[in-house]
Amino acid sequence: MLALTRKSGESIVINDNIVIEILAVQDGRVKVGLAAPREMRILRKEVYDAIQETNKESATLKTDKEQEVNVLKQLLKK
Amino acid sequence: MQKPIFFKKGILGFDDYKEYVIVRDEENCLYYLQSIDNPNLEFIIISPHVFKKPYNPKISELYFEELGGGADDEFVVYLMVRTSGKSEEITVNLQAPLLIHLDRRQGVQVIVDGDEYGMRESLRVLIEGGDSC
Repeated sequence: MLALTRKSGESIVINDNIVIEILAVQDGRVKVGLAAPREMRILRKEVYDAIQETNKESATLKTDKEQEVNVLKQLLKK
Repeated sequence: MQKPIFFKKGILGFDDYKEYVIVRDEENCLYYLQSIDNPNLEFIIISPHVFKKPYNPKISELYFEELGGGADDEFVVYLMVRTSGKSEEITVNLQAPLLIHLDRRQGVQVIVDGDEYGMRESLRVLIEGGDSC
């Protein structure tokens, strides 16, 4: 990983079309401004990680969740 | 056999698996999203139509474009279910629906903007008073 030191108000340019600007640094928090082409998806990594985690919990290996699947079917039966 | 649905970017956390078939469970509202490449990998998914409240997430245009665009009714949305031995603990991921263009056989897992929809919403609460399948 490349590590760069930047001050408030300074920026980094990636690939000619992504600009990351350090807007403010205060009390251990960094406010970052991002300018990127609209098709680029920008996410907080914890959201990404949480979805990955939830997906892993949702994946069923066909045989090992039979009982749980039955509970689910029961719930849907009204 | 139905043509598989191609998830160009995979499902988050399962990036290596791109092709899935959707198998409908005839007896209830469940569908199984089954990996073609890994016979052991399967997700249980559900259509939001069985919920009481309408499910209207804000899905960025970019996701529709990623699947080639088109009118809203060309797309379907499914939600992933996390099973549990206790029915009250079964949850649905409303924040990361699967958006699928059925004709083009292409899908993507969406991340919905905002915090209106959670990742672990109780299925029991969602379907209470809703339509049956």
